[in-house]
Amino acid sequence: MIEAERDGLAERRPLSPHLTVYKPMLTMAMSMAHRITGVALYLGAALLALYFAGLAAGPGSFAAVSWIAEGVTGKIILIGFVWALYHHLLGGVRHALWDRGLFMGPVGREALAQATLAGGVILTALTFYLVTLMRLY
Amino acid sequence: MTTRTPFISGRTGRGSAFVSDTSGCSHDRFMRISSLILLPLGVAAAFLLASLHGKSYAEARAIVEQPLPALALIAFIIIGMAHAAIGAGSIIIDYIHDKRKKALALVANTIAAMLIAGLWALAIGLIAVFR
Repeated sequence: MIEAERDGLAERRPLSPHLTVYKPMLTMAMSMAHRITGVALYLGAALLALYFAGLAAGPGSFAAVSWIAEGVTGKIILIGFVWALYHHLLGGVRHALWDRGLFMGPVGREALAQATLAGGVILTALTFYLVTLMRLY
Repeated sequence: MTTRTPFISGRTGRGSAFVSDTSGCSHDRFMRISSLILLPLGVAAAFLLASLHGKSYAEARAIVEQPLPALALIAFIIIGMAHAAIGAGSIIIDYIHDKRKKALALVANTIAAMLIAGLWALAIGLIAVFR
């Protein structure tokens, strides 16, 4: 079977349809989102590593990286990163609950998926509200 | 012919973990433990990173050089990048089938994760130590 990967004919073998036929369900979308937010966090961490490096190196270097946290671009990056973080975090909680067999019924899993989605947005909004308007930091 | 090994979990009953009670894969174990640790660290990092928006050089340094935020951010990135490296490894294994490309991608992933965590931790460490 390992030859099937190596013989180069894989691209020509037919695949049974998946994305074209499967009804999009919230749990399925959330599973994809969990993986996508994970990748986004990986890339965002790389960007923020550059930001902190610039911050450590001095005012001149900081001027080159300040766009990451400044203005509209910075807003998009930071809000995106924080939202991805909360979404992935709550998704992890969702998986931990499912690992214990909880909320796996037809109603439970939908509710959990919706709670994850809503919770991520709410927590992001709450964080930015507390930080900017209340100057918590 | 089928053979059957009786699966016995140490814990049974509703709400018990449906996982084997033997050693388990080390990656899986690390992902579970790191997820738990990253719960508070992630929330702390979210607040700290959100606070960085629009901050000038001096203001940003004033936030990061404090010992507790610095420690939280350093712990977040070290444990977080280890977590991310395993997660990205799963993605690579899932989607890249050519053996040579897969191997290269996995190595690149490990190195990238170490570089990102190292750069971030070093930078914040320097800011906090030489405040």
